[in-house]
Amino acid sequence: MLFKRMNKRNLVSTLVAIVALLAGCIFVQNGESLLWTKIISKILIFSIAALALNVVCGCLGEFALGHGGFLLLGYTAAVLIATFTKNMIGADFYKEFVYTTRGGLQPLGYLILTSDVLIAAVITGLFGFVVGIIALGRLKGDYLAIVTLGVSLIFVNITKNIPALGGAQGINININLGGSPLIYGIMLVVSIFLILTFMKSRFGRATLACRDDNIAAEACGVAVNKSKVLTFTFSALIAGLAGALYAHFNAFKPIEFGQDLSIELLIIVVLGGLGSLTGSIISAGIIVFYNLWFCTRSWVPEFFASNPKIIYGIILVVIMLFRSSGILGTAEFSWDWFYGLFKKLKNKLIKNKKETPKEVE
Amino acid sequence: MELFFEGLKNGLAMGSVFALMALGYSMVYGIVKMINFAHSEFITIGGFVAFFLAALFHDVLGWAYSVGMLLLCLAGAIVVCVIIAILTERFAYRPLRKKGSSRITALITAIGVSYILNGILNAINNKQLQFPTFFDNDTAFIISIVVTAALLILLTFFVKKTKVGIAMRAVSENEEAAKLMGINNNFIIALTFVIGSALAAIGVVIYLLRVPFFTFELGSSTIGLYPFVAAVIGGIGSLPGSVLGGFLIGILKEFAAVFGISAWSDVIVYGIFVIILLFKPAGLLGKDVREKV
Amino acid sequence: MLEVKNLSVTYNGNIRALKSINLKVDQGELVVLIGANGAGKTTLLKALTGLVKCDSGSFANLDLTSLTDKRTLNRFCGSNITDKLLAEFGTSEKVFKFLQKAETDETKKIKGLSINQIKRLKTKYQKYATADLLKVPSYNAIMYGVAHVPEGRQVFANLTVQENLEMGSYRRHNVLKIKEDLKEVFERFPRLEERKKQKAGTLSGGEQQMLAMARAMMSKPKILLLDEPSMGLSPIFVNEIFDIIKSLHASGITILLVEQNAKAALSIADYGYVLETGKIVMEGKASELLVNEDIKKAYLGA
Repeated sequence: MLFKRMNKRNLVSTLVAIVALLAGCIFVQNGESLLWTKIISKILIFSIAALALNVVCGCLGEFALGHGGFLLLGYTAAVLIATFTKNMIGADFYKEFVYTTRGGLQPLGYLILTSDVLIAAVITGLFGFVVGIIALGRLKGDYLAIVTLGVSLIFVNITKNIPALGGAQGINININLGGSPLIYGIMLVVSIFLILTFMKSRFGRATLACRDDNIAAEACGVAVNKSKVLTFTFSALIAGLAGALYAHFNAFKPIEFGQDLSIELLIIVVLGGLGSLTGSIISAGIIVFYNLWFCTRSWVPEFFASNPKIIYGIILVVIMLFRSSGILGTAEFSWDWFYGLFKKLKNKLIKNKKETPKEVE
Repeated sequence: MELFFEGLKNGLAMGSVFALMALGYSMVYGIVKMINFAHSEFITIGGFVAFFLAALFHDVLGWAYSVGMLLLCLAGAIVVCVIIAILTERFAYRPLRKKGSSRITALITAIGVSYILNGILNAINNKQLQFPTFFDNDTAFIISIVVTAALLILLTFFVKKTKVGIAMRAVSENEEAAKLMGINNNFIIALTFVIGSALAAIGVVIYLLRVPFFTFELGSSTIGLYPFVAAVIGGIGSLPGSVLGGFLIGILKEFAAVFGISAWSDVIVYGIFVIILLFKPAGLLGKDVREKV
Repeated sequence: MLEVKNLSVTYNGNIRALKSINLKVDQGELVVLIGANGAGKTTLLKALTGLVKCDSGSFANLDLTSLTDKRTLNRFCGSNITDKLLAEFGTSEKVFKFLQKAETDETKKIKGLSINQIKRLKTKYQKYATADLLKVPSYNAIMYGVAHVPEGRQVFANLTVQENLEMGSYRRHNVLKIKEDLKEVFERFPRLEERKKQKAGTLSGGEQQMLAMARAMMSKPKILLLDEPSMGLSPIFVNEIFDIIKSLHASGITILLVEQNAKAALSIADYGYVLETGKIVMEGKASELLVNEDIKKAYLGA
């Protein structure tokens, strides 16, 4: 994927990229711009969510239209756990050992944050398991998409109606437990690592086989249903992770996790390319950037800002008509390609240099 | 007990609306094999045209007011919806069919089209507008039941007995063989969309008779995915199934309202949806299609 | 008679499925195309009816008295002229026969039509008759008298036997004639009549093949393209199908038969072509091909 050949150069490049990413996060975090913090954070979180969806849609080949529901689960779980911990420990203790005076977090704070995110992810994974077992065995294609959408709407509706879980206004972590681009960046790297491990393992390869041909895969001894459910559970877990991080990012109402969010995630995945992990990250960047930066510029006509849906629709239709595989298709951003590009540029420059002396003569 | 009957009556009325819209989804899915997500926007467009005409000609027609207005709104809504449907099919869906795209590509394109239409509609206005009432509740109820029953019978006759109807079924079975029979696939598919959108238009006008409020989110939010769920529950591709599904969902929704738990109607409807699909994936009246190895 | 000139088909830009095929089927002949799997036989038939795109070539049906009914005539020359022609000749078949003669007899006057009009009509007909069918969309092939029974039967599984047959006559409008033809078909294929209300998908392979052929006949074609009718059928049915093909041949229809069962096919055919990896490698009278040593070794299992 990221590297066809696991050689020193590729490994180093990847490490450098990760460090650059995290450094960038720290930079933004300590910078003045609240907007950029918001943008970068949201990009990172949405990347994780998009990656989760891509695992099911791109790698498993089954279309799930309801990942918004899993994000909601992660969000709600994280909030509940955090609130519970706070109530148990007490607000004073929080002031002493969890926060710093500048509003950041002490190590204990980071510990609490990490654990509530991870627990929320696991809980969501469990729900994903249940949904997967029920739905994946019996339904295919369009039906699966609609059922997953329906399930996510059930989650939204339940959460909306039970005040303890959110009510119409939603709940939030009303204690600032931090959450910053750095954390999201680390989580993104962790997620990518988890996904790559999964995809390279026998489970991942079984999943890819199922995508291409269910029956042939079965004939090869792949327990198709098992693989599907496993992949779906894993995807729900990552989505829950993203949802939990979302809880630390901002406060949201349950209704914001409905159909619109699920479709937005689908757009991101399709735009980036089904099956391309780097593609999802890139397109998450594009979409969030469009929403939070482009639409808020004063020089952008009112029309776009208040009707982002039209642009989404146009993007979707255009991409489906002209390049239905998305920006990157099923390929990944590869260092080989990147350096290859470098080389080409270098050669071009050298060629020019060689020619100029002659002309002078 | 009284509550029960009220719920039943409202449910049947609402159900007939859902049934008509479900028929639209069902025909398109059955023959073109795609979920036309943009159907919900056709509904909104139909409603808008009806509202516009009603507002415009409010004072013109005299004694024939009620019936006349109804027919006028129906005609207008149908015409505009059909035009939009034809354009959508011609420019968004047909190129995909020509390329031989997958079903998911078609589904995503449909979502895209629905977003575009929704965006355009919302840009016009986003207030809730009042629709004039032509009939009292009871008459409206009778009209909706009669219209739904009539259309179901008409459609069934069309699909079973007329040449073009049989050709539609042939196209849904096997496009290539249909071409060899001299059937113009593109025409048949366009015709399917025409019928589907006309049904959506009729459905929304009937809806507005009883619930006289129009917003630009009518198709996408207020009515939302319910007709689609109805079609799937009843058995997508089956005409009586869609109608049955429509009535079922309508009754569920109205009973929830009557017993004061309408906030939970989503959970109830989608819950039943998931349960039915688990035990009978082809829907209540659908045919179980087994994949041939 | 059917004439294919220089037909080439390429898949995906570089796989040449058919290379410059030249093929002729005379009126009333039964011509067979044999070849191994993958030789391109099915591709050829699909190209003829436009189901597969060709890079080059032409396909003409030079005997165009298809669908002789008043409505087609109306569409061809307008109702005014149609009425005058019918008044002169009586039946639409006779009108078409008249139009087929390329030369105009200047002495013979037709009431209401000038010589120039008749000349123009005849030129128009000639253009129609020699039209390159490869440029015609698939769903109009049938209007030029070409009926294609595709590989694998391809009946409409969820439609009844009767509905399948009705689809065969989709482009015809003379309701009475269609009813008559339906009766004839049922007489010829009593088994189909027994099952006429049954869904076509529930029929056995052999019955489905009969249905597919009967369905094609319902369009009253001038040319019948049969793609591997015996494929996947039990031996008894194979015999039955070939008997049916023989009787169709006897009734005067021009048939282009594509078959893997070379022996059975060659024994009922007039003429044969051998297709190998997209090229015609041999042709000749069917009786000669049957005894040809190379053919025997390659296809007849000698």
